Amino acid sequence: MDKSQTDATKQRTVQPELSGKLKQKMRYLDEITSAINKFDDRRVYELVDPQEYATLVRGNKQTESTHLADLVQDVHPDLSHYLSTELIKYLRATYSFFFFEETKLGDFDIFFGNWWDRRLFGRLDVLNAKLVFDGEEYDKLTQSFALEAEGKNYNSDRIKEIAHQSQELQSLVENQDERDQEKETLRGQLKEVGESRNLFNGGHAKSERQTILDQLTKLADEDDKANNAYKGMKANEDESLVLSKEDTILSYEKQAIRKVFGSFENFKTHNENLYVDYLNSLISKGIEDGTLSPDEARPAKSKTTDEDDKKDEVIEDDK
Amino acid sequence: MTSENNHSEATSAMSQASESNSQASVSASDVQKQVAAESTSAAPQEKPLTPSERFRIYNDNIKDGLRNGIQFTKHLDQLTETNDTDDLLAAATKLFDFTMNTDFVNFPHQYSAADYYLLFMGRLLELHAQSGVVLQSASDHEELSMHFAALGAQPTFKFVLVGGTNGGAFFTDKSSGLHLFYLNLEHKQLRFNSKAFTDLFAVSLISETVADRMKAINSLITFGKDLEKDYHFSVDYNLLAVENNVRYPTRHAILPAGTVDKLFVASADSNYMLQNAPEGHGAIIELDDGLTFGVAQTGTETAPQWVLTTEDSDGKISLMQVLLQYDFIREWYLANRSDLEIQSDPLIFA
Repeated sequence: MDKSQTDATKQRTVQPELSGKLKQKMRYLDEITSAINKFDDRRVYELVDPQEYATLVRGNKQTESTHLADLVQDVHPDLSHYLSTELIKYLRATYSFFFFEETKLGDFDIFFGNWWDRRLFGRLDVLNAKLVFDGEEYDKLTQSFALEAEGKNYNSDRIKEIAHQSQELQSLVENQDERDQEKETLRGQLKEVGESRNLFNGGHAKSERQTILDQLTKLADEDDKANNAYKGMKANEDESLVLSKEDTILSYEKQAIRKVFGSFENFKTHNENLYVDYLNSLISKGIEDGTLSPDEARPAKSKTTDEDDKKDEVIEDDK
Repeated sequence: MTSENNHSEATSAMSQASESNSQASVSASDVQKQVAAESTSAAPQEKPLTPSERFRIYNDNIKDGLRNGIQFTKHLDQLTETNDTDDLLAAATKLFDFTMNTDFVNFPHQYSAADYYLLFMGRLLELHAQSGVVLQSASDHEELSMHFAALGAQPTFKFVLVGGTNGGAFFTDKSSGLHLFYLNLEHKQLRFNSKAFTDLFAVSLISETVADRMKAINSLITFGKDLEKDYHFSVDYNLLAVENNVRYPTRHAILPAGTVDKLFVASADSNYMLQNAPEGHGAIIELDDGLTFGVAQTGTETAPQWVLTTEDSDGKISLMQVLLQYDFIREWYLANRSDLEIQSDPLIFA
């Protein structure tokens, strides 16, 4: 046994490949640690998702081995929390109408505006520097912009409809006296028909009777509606308030977007290019600080920045 | 006042009284009663009063009555002429329950306690160089009234005395009967009534300019400040309070859902924005020139209390002024009055 064991030990060879792999991991972790300690957010972004960084920022697909990034998967919330400070500072400057609240470590809600009952508009994906909007809320805003062409608000039609309904209810209430009179007349007629019924005009009387009964039923229905009219009008008022409030919120959102971005289209373009724009801003800062050499950075052209150098534009088009 | 069966002594006494005070008169029947009373009280003395003794007593009674009248004129001199606020209050307090008439000397021309309240108020404001109110006396009888210089002859105010043990008086609009405030000099209390101020200044007088209405209101605020400063009154300014830290509690501690939403929609229509309050649970509107109006829940989860707030750079603007100045806030306040109306002292304005 002893011998075979010794043999086994002897048989084992040095594993340079494995230790190389492990060293790579260590290097990766060392690098990301050092980047965090130096507050080099750009580098952190590059290390956390080399693929995305290479594609979008460098404009090529040469990457540092992507799988290494899996090493920090479980600390993404911490990384996200760490990176949020600078990112939110940047976002507050560019998207002054968005407010961010950290609901749990690294998770951020986006609120649109600081007005009363502002909407929860989505969440911030810090590691991808991406605004992830709530589909429904975003859709309302999109429609609201589209409806401007018709000179309408998002809820204009419904509000008009409700107002019309309330008006009808109001007139039902107001016409109660008329209905009461009409009912009395009809009841009188009914009685007459009943009394004049005889063998010869039986069929005719029956149909006449039915007509009167139908009219009475219709009036009774209207009475019922009138009795519930107050409730209905109150409900309409409540609904109308909710809709008006929503329209007000949407109008503030549209105003805010116009004020900052000029148009909804421009806003959308900015959202799409947020990652590139943000990383470029970090690169520019790095170059200014002297912590980054201009060659190293090679920022890609963002659609939102003005005429940058043409070379980068080509790279952008390649992807 | 003069009775048919004047005794000669009464007549001569009356002429005497007339010399010292043209407004005094003496009733002959009173004299008889008094003399009769004297004779009864002198019952143990077997000897009836001699005519000269009777006249001495009679004369003393008249003198007392006249002295009482003189005393009254001294208080009135003090109330109308003094420049000292303590003397002013002392004179006023004396006059409120001064009984001018005695059994022997009656004064047919008299002002009432309510008039002395008004005179006191007018004088105190005069001493503080506040010329916002105008005192006026009726031409055909003894009665004072007051109006605001900025608003002209209408509305007109008088004090209405409160009976019962508490006393005090309401400053009342003569035509509507609205009590703007309650004043009690004895208990040193002044209580403004939010409901009456709203009814009068935010509804009835809506056609007057805001500046004129505020001038009128400010003279009443000054009156409160004077009472606080000069006499250490306790004053509830209510919706007239101007300090920034004042919280105006709403009538219903919990506002129904939608109340704040209504203000939100109304403010947008008026090109203002109701924002989430930077802290706490509530909302604010930044109005003009650094003025902020707020609605906030300041209570706890279990015991909520909604309040209205106003803040401005100088701490000079009251809720009342905001209601007058901003149509959309006033309309919202009036439309939701049953929930919002700021409460006045419930012990006084039930």
